Amino acid sequence: MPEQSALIQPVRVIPWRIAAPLVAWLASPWLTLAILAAIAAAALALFTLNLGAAAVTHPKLRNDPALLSFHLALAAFVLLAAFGRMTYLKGQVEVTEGAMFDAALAGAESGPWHVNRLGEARFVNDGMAIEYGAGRVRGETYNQVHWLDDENRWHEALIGDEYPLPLNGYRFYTTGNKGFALMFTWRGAAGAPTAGSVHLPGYPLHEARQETAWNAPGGPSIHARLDFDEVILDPARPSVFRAPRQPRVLITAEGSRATLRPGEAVTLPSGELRFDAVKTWMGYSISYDPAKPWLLAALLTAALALAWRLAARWRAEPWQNGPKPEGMA
Amino acid sequence: MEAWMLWAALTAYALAGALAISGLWRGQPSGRLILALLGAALSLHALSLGLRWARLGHGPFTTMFEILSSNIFSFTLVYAAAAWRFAAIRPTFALAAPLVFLMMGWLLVTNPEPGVFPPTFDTGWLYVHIGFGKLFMGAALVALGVALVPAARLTRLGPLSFPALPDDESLDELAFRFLSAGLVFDTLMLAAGAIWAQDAWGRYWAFDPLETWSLVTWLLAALAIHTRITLRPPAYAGTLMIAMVFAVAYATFFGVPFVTERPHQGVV
Repeated sequence: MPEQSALIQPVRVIPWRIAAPLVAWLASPWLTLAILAAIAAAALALFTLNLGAAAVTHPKLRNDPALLSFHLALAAFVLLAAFGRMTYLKGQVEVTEGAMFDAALAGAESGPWHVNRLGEARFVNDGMAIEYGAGRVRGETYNQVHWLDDENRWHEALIGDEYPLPLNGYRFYTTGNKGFALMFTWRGAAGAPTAGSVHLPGYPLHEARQETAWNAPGGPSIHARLDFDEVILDPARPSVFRAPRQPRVLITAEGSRATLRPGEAVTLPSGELRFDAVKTWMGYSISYDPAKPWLLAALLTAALALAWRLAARWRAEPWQNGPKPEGMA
Repeated sequence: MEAWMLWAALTAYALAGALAISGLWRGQPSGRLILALLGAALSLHALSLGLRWARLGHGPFTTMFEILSSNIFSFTLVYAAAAWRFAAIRPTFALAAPLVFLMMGWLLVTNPEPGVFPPTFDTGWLYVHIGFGKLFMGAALVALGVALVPAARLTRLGPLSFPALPDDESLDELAFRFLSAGLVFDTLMLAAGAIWAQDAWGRYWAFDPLETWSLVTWLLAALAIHTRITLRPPAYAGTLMIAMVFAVAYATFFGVPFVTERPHQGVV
């Protein structure tokens, strides 16, 4: 009888350093999402095929224009929804008062077939008025903009949270995300002056944190904090969002600290920083979906076709077997 | 005045419901009297809602109190309209009344203080969206009331035999016609809601909890109608399917907006 040790084959264990990434990949919520998306896509594709085949083969469906229209509209809706998901874009951008939209989005997601034409959209944020009720309840937003059409002509528009600016198929909506922008001019040791804006965190959401840090062009890291004594949004009464009229900016850079008012400058070892003004910035949401009007048309067609079918049935077929009892309408 | 009118309306609703339920035992449905009481209740309730609307400057869309109040009104209005058109189904209000009673009880323990009317509600699409939603729920309630009769008859209890009503097959047919009408309204509600969402939040559909459950409701209604057409199940199975659709629709309308933090972005 052989020894027991000779019968037992050594087990090859996959080293954990190889298995770990695989396990991590299998445990990923993105994989869950991908599986769910694949199941949904397969189900929708099967549903569309089923509907198409039924429209061809079922005499009841084929000979009933209302029922056929309803089902075809539903199939069109599914296909359009899929097309919309492949071509959509959702994004956010912040534009300083007086500045032109530069297509540099703060965040975006889009379908794989989306052709980005945002760079062709031209509009300028001319300023805003946002009404606040007592208790700082945000009301209507009125944002004045002017925009350039395909023939290089400028137009004016007043947009808001519900009234978008449509440009090249993109729709720009104002949002509750807005705040103050510090306008500076930086003159480096050997360079030409550069004017620009720095956006502070949203107001009044981050009221207690009106500060930020950035790098001047070719220069040092600069920290700026906005201070003002006036009440912009009074919780006790209705008010309108605006930039502070008497702002001060505390600058910290290269070991120096200085408090600046509009028009004042601080000289640093690597250049001069002038505080020009405080303006506002608006955060826009951007949406693009070429399938949207067609989706609506398909949905309305489906609803109307079903209503047509139902009305025809009410007229043609009594719901009740046998004679109506006394008092029936 | 507004509160008194609401109380008077609730009392008239309760009387109509009690009359319908007691009619089952008496064997006399008193259909006309029930309809007259519902008419009086609806008139008083409409006045109360109108006064509140005039006082606050907006419709009953923001708080649970307003949503319950307006839905008691719309549920009963659609039921009364259906009962006026189809006299035979008037006794079925006895089966729908308990739900209205439940909502009335819920209303009475809800805070009537006004809520905040968000800027995104300041659009005509709000009325289209909510109007079709109320028509859908009303049609679904009528479908449920009618569909419950075949199931009630299975109990073989005398009061629940509804002898004055047509046979189960006819009631099943009528119930599914109301559910089909409800599906049309549901589709239009989703379309109007999508347009509103696009204007309000820059997206027409985002699979938020309310949107997702509205879609589930639509799919269930379509599934119930297809199942009936394809499998021709007995009437009591139709009752089950319609009850399932109504339960999900009811939970979507009255449950989801109040158990999630933000059912529709910006609404709450």
